[in-house]
Amino acid sequence: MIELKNVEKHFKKPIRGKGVWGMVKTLFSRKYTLVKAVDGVSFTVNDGEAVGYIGANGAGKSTTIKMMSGILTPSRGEILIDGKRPYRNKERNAVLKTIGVVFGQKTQLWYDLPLTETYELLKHIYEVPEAEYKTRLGELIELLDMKPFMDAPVRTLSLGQRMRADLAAAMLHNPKTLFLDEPTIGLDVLVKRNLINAVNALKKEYNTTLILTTHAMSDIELLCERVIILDNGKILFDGTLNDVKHMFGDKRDITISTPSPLDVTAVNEKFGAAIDRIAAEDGGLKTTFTIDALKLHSSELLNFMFNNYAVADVKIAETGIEQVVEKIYADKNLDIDGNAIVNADDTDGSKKDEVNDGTR
Amino acid sequence: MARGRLKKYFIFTKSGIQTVIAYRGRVALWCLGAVINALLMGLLWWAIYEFSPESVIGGYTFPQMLMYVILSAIVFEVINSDSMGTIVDDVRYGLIGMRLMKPINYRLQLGFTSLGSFVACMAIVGIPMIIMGLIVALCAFGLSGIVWYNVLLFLPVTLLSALVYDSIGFLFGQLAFRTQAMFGVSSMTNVLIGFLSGSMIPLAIYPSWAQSILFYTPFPTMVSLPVRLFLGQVPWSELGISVAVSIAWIIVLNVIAHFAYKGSVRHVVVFGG
Repeated sequence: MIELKNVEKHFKKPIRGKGVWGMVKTLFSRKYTLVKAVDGVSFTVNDGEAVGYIGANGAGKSTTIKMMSGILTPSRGEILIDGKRPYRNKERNAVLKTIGVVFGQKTQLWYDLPLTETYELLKHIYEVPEAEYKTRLGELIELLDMKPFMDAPVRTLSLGQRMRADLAAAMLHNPKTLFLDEPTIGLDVLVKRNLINAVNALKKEYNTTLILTTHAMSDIELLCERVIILDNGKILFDGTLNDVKHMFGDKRDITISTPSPLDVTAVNEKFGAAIDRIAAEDGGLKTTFTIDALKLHSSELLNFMFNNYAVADVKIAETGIEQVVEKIYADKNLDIDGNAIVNADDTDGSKKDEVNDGTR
Repeated sequence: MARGRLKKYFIFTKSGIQTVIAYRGRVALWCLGAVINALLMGLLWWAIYEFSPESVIGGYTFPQMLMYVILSAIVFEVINSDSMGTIVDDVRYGLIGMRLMKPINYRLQLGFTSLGSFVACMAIVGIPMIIMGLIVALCAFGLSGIVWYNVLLFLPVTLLSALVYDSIGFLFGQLAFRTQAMFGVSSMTNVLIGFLSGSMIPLAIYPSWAQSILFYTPFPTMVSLPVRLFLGQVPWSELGISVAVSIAWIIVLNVIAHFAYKGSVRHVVVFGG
């Protein structure tokens, strides 16, 4: 189980003066800006749960992942991975043996060695028993289709091959928790789908806890049941995937095509309160009604349309997580069910306090 | 228990050997570099001996000096550990986080990798080039005074040299966590080691007071000690003291490096690297 209790991470940045003279003054200045990259984050992730940890660039996602995997020490608060603190020297190795990490932008493989040798190294590092190692490596090679490039040096692998190899490296010691930080960045559609399928299969087989950070919302939809949205270092939303999709209501876009331009007056009169937006295209031949499915059933609107208009074609689309998250990022001052927490005084995307601690 | 824990690090020695073998071009360039270095230094000393009224300079005849420059060029290449370079790359490309996420000791990982690199370089480059150099010095220039036990002892003493070099490299590599100017640090370290280890000029040429001081520093172990041992110029008593001094320095350097590294890691985990 992963527990984060009121975790904060502050970084000190010297206040830099403008111009050459300003830079010279910075050399002797003791003034710092305290940047709160993570600001009072608390959540619990149960064993086997899959959580999408998302947020705009600079929201504090990677900083949290780095704290959970022991690279960074929290400035305040506590992180417990199965009761152990990964950033404490004495507890660190015990935690590291139970986690696997895949960073889309960085590799954990040994650049000059063939993959087989890299896995051999990892077997020794994580002290995986020989029989277990052989079985799991065999499974991973098959699942991730790695056989063709097992003997190739890592430096010669394509990005797609490298990502598969990195995932296998992270899973080789059967970690209880797998951290995936933008694992599908730069991958083509097919490789991306195969990688996601493989992660899902591994998760199912080994009941691995999954923490995924990504900007690709489709990855979240395919892998996670729960979503935590971070903004300016604070949790903006923590709930199920379904909850996040319906954050602004259960929206549907119903597009009706008609042979002649559509007069929407009658529709407006009947369902006006339940329709959020009406948009016409192609000179009125194609009309999209955005409705709140909690107030109006699609079937009601469609029945009305079929009975009163000559409908040529119909298309119904559910509002995806992509649109919801886009709206959240665009409007940080939302008050969603009174729970939104945003730094109103923040002007540059991070909460800052000026400090003078007398150290450099 | 400790032996069991250390056992897994030998896999890095294997990876160090494999990495050297993986880059045939680099090995070829090392050979070429060592040959050019030995050739130029040989010519320089030939000119010096030609114009000097003395046939023995700093205790060396010309054939001995020729063998000295050949051996020092080879030893300097073979012990050249990549620990500092690895730290610089890991910090610069942000891989240090990935390294810290592994349940292993970073220092031991680099140390054992360097050991592998040393073994491979010595086997592939060092020993064949030493044999060739020895044949040239013996046959063409009449080198004498080479005895088999000194040649055999040369190998473990060179391993000691590699350990000293690696310890200095790891210690100076800690600067990568705090400065971007690692090219300068690396060049400075190499020049310093080249000058004080006897790689550029035999230490016997230096004033006696400088030799006395240098004797108790880690530098002569790196080049001067193994080369002079090969040439049969190190008495047993001096060899014993030099080895003891080297081991003491390896311990001291690693203790300092341990604390420096702890500071570097703290720098990464607290300030984010």
